[in-house]
Amino acid sequence: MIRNIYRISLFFIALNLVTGCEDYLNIPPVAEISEEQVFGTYASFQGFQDKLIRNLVDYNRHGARVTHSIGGEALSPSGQSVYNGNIGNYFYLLSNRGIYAIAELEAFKAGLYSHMWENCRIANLCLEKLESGILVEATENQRKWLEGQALFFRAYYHYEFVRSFGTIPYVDTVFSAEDQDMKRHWSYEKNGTTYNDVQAVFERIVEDLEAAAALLPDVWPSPNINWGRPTSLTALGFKAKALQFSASPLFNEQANGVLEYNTALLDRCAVPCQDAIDLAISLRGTEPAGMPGVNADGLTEMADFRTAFATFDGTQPGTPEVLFHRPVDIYGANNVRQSEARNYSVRQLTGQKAAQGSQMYLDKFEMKDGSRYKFEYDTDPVRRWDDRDSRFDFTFYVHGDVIDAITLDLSTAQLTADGAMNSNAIRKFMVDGVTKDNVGEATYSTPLLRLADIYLTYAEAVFESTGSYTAVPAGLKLSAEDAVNVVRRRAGQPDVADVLTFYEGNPQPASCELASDPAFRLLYRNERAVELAYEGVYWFDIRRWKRAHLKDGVQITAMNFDLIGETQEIDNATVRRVDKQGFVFKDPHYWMPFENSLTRFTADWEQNPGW
Amino acid sequence: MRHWQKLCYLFAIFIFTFSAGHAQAPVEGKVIDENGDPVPFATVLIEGTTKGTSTNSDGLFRINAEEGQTLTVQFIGYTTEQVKITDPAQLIVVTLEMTTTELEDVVVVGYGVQKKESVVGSIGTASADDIKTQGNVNNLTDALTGIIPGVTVLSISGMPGGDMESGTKIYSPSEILIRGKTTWNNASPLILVDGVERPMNDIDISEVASVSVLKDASATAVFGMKGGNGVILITTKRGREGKARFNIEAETSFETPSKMIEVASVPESALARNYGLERTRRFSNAAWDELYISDEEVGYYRDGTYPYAYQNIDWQDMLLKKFTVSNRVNVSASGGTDRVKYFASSSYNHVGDIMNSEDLGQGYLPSYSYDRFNVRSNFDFKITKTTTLQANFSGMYGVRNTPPSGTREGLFAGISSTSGDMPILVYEDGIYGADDGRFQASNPYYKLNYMGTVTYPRTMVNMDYTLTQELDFITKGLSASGKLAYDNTFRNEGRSVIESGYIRKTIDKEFYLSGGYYDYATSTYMLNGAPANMDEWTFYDVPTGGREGFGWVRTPNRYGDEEVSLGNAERSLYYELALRYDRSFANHNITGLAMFNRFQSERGSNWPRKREDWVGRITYDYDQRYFLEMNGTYNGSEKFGPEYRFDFFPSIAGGWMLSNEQFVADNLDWLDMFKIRYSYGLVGNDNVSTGSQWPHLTIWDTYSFGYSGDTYYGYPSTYDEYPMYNEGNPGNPNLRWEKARKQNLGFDIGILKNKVTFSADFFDEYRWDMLIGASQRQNTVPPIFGKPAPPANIGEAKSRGAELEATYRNSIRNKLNFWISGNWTVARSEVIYKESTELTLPHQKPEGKPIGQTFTGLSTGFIESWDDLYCATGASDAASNGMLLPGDMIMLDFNSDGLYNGSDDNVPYGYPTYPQNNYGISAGANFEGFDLMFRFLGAYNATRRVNPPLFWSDNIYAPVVILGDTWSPQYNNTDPTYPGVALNAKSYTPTGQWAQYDGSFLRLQSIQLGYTLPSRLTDKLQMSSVKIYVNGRNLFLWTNMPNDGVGMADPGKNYPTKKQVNFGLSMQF
Repeated sequence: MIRNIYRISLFFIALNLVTGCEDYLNIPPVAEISEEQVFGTYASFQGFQDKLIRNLVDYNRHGARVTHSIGGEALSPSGQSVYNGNIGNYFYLLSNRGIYAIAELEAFKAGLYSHMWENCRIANLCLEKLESGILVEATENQRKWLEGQALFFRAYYHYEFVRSFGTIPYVDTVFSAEDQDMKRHWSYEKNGTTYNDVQAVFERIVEDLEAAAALLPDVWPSPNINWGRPTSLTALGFKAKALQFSASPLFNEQANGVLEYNTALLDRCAVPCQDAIDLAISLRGTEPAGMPGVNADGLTEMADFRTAFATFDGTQPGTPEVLFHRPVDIYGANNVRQSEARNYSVRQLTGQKAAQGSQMYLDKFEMKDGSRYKFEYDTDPVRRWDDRDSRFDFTFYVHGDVIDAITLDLSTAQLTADGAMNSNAIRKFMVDGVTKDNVGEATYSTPLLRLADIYLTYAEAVFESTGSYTAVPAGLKLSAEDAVNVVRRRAGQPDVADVLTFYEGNPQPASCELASDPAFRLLYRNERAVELAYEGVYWFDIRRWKRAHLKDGVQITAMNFDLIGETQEIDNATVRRVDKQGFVFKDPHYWMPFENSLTRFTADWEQNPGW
Repeated sequence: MRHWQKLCYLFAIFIFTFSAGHAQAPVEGKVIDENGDPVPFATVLIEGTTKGTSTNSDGLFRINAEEGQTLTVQFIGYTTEQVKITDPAQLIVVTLEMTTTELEDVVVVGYGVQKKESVVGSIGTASADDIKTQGNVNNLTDALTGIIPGVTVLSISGMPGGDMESGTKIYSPSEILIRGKTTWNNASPLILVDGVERPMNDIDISEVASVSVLKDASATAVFGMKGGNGVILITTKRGREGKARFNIEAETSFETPSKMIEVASVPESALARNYGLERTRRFSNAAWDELYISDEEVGYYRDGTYPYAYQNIDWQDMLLKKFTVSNRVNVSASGGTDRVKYFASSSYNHVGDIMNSEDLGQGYLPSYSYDRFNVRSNFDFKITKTTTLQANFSGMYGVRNTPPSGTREGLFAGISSTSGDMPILVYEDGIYGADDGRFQASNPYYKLNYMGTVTYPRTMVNMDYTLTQELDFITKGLSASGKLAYDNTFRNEGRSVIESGYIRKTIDKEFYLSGGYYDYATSTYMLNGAPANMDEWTFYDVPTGGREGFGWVRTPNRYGDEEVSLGNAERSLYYELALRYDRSFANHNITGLAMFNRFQSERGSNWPRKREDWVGRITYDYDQRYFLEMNGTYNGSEKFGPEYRFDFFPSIAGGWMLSNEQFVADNLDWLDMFKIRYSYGLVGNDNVSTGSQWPHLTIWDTYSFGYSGDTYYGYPSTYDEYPMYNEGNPGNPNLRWEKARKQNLGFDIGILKNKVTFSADFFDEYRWDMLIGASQRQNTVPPIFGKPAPPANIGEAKSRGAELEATYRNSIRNKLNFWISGNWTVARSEVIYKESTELTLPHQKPEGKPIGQTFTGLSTGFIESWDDLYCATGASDAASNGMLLPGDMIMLDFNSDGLYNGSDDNVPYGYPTYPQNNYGISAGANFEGFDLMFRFLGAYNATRRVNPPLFWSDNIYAPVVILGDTWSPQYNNTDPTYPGVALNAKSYTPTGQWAQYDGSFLRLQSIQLGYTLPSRLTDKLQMSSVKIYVNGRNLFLWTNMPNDGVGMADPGKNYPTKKQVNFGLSMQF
């Protein structure tokens, strides 16, 4: 009896131990794209890495009605992002539409914030895979390019993030889901110097960019096909920008508690500026076939300048002066009536209610003779708009401008009817003639870095470090003044020496400028605002200088006027400045708030103060 | 003794007297069962000969036999008896006893059957009759409601033929919970129909022979990782040896909506909105100007002076029928010989629409309805003496009918958020009222009846074969079997009629107020004694798609044909190989099972999902006193990596039948049965939303993106040089089973000749390595990770509870049989650990709370005055604070940060959404062919969210329940629980715990009265049994909830739940 039970039990147990069929549950080989397939060849590896280009954010395209022009340089109908930014409602920018938006529709090309960590993951994954030797089919150069791009993008995305949010950990590993413990505040020691917090992050960024600059090509093979990829010049340019931010008072204060420029960093900033300028000049003529060339300074001629921002024939916007931008693939009607129209425009032109330049920003544009704009010119029909820096006309449409079949009416009555806030429309990103009815293959792109910015960055670094705008520091080739002149000359404005007197003790009212500022500082800062208008620079600048709070409580103004009778002629007597929106900028606004989805996870990731 | 029996005896005596003296006279006899009922079709054989006969429908037989011969009487399901003929003249009465191996005393367990006596696991069963008493239910899930202790059916929607796995805004599928919820993942049990994983909803209830619900580890361990949430085994009917039996069932039921949210009348709602406008005027003067309704106008609503301007319609009344009719017919035949047995059944089921869909001459009947045709044939072939083959074929063709997709929601809005004043239903000239954009109201009646109709056919063809070979030649009691099942399901979009719609209009109220009217005689609108220029007064809503030009011409109906969507075709393949052993050695009874099976299912062209099991079971009992059972499964799931893919799930269980011990039998003769059972074992669960079919792997895939192209570099235009690879959801190579350790201690007691039976089960469950799906981890893994976090095993939970059931059954003089039964179950779960972030506030951590705990903000009272307002807790932002008014709730600032903010201050409140306690009381009796039974079903310790809108889009829709609870001086509510009425302009109105209702209820789940015709009548009709019955389902409901629903939040615009009265006829011949 017992033996029987024993025998039978044994039989069943033995049967259960047969495990030869476990393979049944293996996943079918065809269902799996293997890592070797993805990372095995240069082309596929590059294809994987290209998501980093796809995740780039164009400041003026991303999300409908979104810009990062929230430093008071623009006015928008209430409820839109610019409006909310102006009143300091930065959480709105996070949760709705803005470059840092969290829940952004894919169709609008995703936010910097929501993709920040994915981007870091991709870049780090690429570096990990390059190390692992899985890449077999690639030349030595191709390996360098892949590594260079990974390092560049890792640095770039950190740069984008940290200049708005302040210090964050430098994400240089591929996290596991179980372990992402990183402290927000940290220090980094290098060459005997200890860098704290945000400067530590910038130091890591600079390191990666230096390495990237050495690895990336000066010119990509088949420049046409690869236009848009970062080059050694791009890496150098952002290295200069990273040092500029790191050296700026706001960032120096967060790192060291000292609210002034860090001159050591400024000195370090000037070097990659000079290198970038030299490299850019040496690379003249290597641009993709069909692209307009540049002048002796590496800048685009004024005649071709629009192509840096916008095109009409389906051509990618850009010139060699544009060191980095997000390549576009949206052309025509959708581009004009949806993207452009929700940017800065008026309904008559593009069909949607959108933002306009604020009047105080228009005031930054000098007169033709280099003198500063005065309020009394408002009623002067010539001086008001016509007798201005050529970039005024380049940047704005004003009343009476005829675009294709549309004659702009920016009178108060029409503005009210259209729900517009100010009497201008932004022209910078529209080729002449483009309207909602004449869309052609129009498109636009906002430069993420332009050589002109490098010249101005150079001027700031040298001037703020040495206190002199004429001095040429040892090892460098330009003075601060020289660098600014390069930019001004392209626009046809008189040289610095001729106009500095206009700036002497003459800050603009209700601006971030102080009477105690040296004239050259007022000038180069004004030059930045004018040259880089609406390219997503101004808000960063006034924060970087820690001057933004000076405008707290200031009313952002618009220019209103009536027409004479039934004509389209402006009744000059009625031209007036109207307060449109109070500008709010308290201490917390120097840093963007982190969304709760990040801060609620750990006490180590503290929210920025005041949020 | 019944009259006919007396007659029989008389008849027998009569025969006897005549046959006295004839030695070769036929012998007469009667075969009865234990209860004295005749056994028809029993075989009577003369021992040692081939001579035989069978009994007639009264159990009588006659056979030529001689004194001294022995008769063998046998019938399937009964003992075989032998009688020696001692006196051929005397009527031989043979009593057969039911054998214990028949259905009644056999329990279907995982991969087999067991004698009820030797079951040591915790298994609940329901018989075909139990299911029948539920009325005319076309959905087997709903038919299980309340008939098995420990099984809870959560249900909220009565959509005919709804089978969508995931809910929509108008429909939520019913859910089954076994012993509550011990997982935050999908808690649905595994469902097997005839041993194969299959959906059960579309099985006709007449085909079901029994339902077994396996609850503890001992019973479910053979399913290993699939058994963690319990298992439901559906067994369909099979043929029995004997003459062909036909069974016809016909049921017609009348259905009405169950409890629905009651809507205040139009004038009452209009006044309420006026109060709301007064209260919120400070926020929107424009709303006041636009919406305030003068008393005079309220009067128009009340007295119907201008019915086409001031309409007072009860949309619920308008859109819901008084009742709808559903039908079910089933015809089945069964029987067989010892070679072939068969059961064949076909049914037709029609579920009617309680929406007021009508044929208004459009050429089609728009409705929500479901028509289903089921066929099934189950065969048992005896191929050789030792080989049997079971072959089951079943098929289903069901057609769900609904209005087209675009109109459904608007239609349901009519009963859940549109007020009765608009749109105007239909104008005097027959033109329907136009939708109202301002109030987001569409004309629901028009939407229901004039937009067309769409059908969704689904077809299911299932088959399975089981070949069993006895292997007695190897060792006695051994058998081997193989099973193969192949199922196919097709879901298509069927024939449709799409209407482009008709012109609709809105006539300005002013027209009627200015004295305008419609002259029916001339069919013209008149104003001031002359035909009115109606263009001035009318807004026409012209459907798009019509032709403009010389007047608008309606687009003809579009007739769509069936579209085969191969992407929705499902196939599954199951095969198993098993060795079984069943043998007794003296007092030792041993059974064994060893099995290997694989299951693979795929939908469309997706990769098939696969599972693989190795199963073993050994049971042993000694002398029907000591029982031991061991189960084990070696299970595999493709969700896990090779290292964790397979796992072993064992269980052990023991039982002791005390009442079979001599010392008990000797001393406690009133104790008929006393059994103690205990089981302990491990089961698992891999039922988690993982974001990928193979979550253990990082899947590399390609992506596409963008408006016009997928490329992001190049000049002058973009190039497409490189493949776009992307990292899919990162995998977790360590992903493994969610494991559950279950214990069950049970007692079964029968006393007083088993008149009183009592059983109690106490259970305890501990789960660990609980899975947290990829989507849930987005809340717990910081975004810095850079991708949706992979699913992982991060959680622990426990659950414990009890099931008690007591039944008393007796009969008075064998005429009145009655029983009464009560059951009560409790199952409480508690999260021990669940991944949450470091900064999750202590009161919001899931630990220590049941799974599915309700959270809500709490109000501590009302802002009664402006003084109160300045002291009340504010909202988190200035804009919201600016919206506070007297009459708003004072919200509890639980974390004391000075402001009320839902994400911080929501606290656990009440109970989980599903009931923790369920109870049932049922009773029945039969007397002289009549039978009566009823079943009450109750639940408590549940919290259910019901949040009807108030003034939806500023319209005047107002549920009575809100007006009854609102804080408003006008309503004199002494104990308000809802803030003062307000319009949309007041965008901040916290309602605290108001929407969280006590989810307790008690309902008359079913009641049935039946009458079985006496056999003297049925005999005349050549039938063996005829029964007529009437039953009711869900006829009474006692609850505080404003509508009928169990355990689920309203999907919003919901197809209402129903109650039913059902008339049925069942005939056997």
